[in-house]
Amino acid sequence: MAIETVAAASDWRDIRKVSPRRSLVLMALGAIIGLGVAGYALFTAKGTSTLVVPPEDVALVNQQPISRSDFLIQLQTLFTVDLAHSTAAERQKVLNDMIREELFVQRAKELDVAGIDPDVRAAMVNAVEQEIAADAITSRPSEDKLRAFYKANVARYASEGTITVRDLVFPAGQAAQAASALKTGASPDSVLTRFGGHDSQRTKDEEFYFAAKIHLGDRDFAVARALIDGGVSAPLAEADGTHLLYVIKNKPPVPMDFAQAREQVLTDYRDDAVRRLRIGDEAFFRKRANILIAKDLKP
Amino acid sequence: MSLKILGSGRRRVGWLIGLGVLAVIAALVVRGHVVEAHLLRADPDAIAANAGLNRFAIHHGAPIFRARCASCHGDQGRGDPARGVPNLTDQDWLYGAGAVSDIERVVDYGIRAHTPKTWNMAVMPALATPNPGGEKGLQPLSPGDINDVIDFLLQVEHRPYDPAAAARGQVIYSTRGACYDCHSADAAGDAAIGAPNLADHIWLYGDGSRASIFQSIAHGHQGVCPAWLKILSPAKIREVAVYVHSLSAGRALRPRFGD
Repeated sequence: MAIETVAAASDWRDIRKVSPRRSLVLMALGAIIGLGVAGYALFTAKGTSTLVVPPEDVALVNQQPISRSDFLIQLQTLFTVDLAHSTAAERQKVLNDMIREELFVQRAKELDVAGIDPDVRAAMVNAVEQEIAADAITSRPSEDKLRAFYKANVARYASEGTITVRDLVFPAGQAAQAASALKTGASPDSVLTRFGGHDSQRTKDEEFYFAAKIHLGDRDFAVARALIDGGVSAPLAEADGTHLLYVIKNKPPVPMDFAQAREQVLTDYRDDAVRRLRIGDEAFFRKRANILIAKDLKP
Repeated sequence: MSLKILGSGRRRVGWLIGLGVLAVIAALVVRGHVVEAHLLRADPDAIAANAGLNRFAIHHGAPIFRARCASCHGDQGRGDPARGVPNLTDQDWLYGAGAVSDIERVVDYGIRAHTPKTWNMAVMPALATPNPGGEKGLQPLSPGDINDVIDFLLQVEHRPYDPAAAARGQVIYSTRGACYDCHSADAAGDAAIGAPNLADHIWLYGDGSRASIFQSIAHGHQGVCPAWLKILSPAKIREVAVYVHSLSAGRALRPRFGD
């Protein structure tokens, strides 16, 4: 008997020998592990039915979770109160509202509301577009990528130029002499008085280039922009008389270096990434879709 | 049950040690899940008062912060005014009042992150552009207008200013500049929409100099923070929110609901 026991123990340890006891133990161990995994998956895995509300949720409606963070936000939105200051009635009201909403959303899916309601369809299209954009926002570009983008689009990044210009209007025949007087350093007001002119008031004080362009018009702005401080334009004939543009101060746009432009570069880079992602996603949707087009509308 | 199946002598000790280690690991994993569940079920704004939960969340939140947030906010969470990244270690909160629930909402849905529940109530318009207000019809300001508004802001901050310019700037601030609409009439900002306080000497962008304020008004801002809801688990989001809250020692300047 003692010999048999020694032999059995030896079989258990020696992997080359068949041991019924070892087989039994390993089988039991496997069964226990399998049951454990299955049980865990049953109560936690998505797509399976569970009787336990996960800790991050406040309710499950037909297995659809209502998240705790959404519940807290709703509580604050509805009652302007946080969890600690809320009453049981307020919490119950919010929970009931959220369950009701979930039930109606689920029913809407059953009714295929998206198939008939243009507002729902538009909201769904917008939601998918936003989702794509959110992915682009989450991936933060490296500094090297931003610098490369900046270099490729450097013309975009400059300060807005400013200009202080007076638009002086003179009677026909007086403008040339007035221009000469201005060029010799006479003050604009004295020249206006001397030659019977007036200020059109199209521009006032220092303006950004875009504003001056709007106020002066494209042609006159182009003339003014090319003048330096104290510069006087050639006479410009217009319906109300002959104009002279007298530039008091002209600060052309200054290119921004990368550090100055970085925020705008990042915004532009992300916008560009969103645009490319949207195009790519649409191409992917089309590629995987089975689209049949009527003969009369085929391209 | 006999321990004979574990062999004898040193072999048995080896088995027992191995099983013991496994049991300890299993116990730690289970305990971690249990504490995470407690953390998720707790009132987020009450976690700081629970030393055990708070410690657990901070311990687990720190590496998440370093992996996900530090690339912008810095390892210490001090931000970067040159890039408009907020300092998370002071008591000035751009969105909400600095409570864990406020921070968690930002982590969940981000800021201008193109998610349906993201914070996106206000954008600082670029007032030196032809169409700064978009659909709102806001009109551009001239360089002189902007300088007047800057003098008004300097007055609000009790810094040296030109009284005549500040008076003009206040009018612009309260009327066609529409600054009051977000930053409020007293320039104290509005944490409900992420409009910075302009009277507290804390500048989200730049150093508060005339030049940097001019840049902000002229070119506008629209900072972005990604939404982590679909990337991090709810427990990790709660942990990182508690960690961020701990960076400022949990002291909020702005009043909470009901306070």
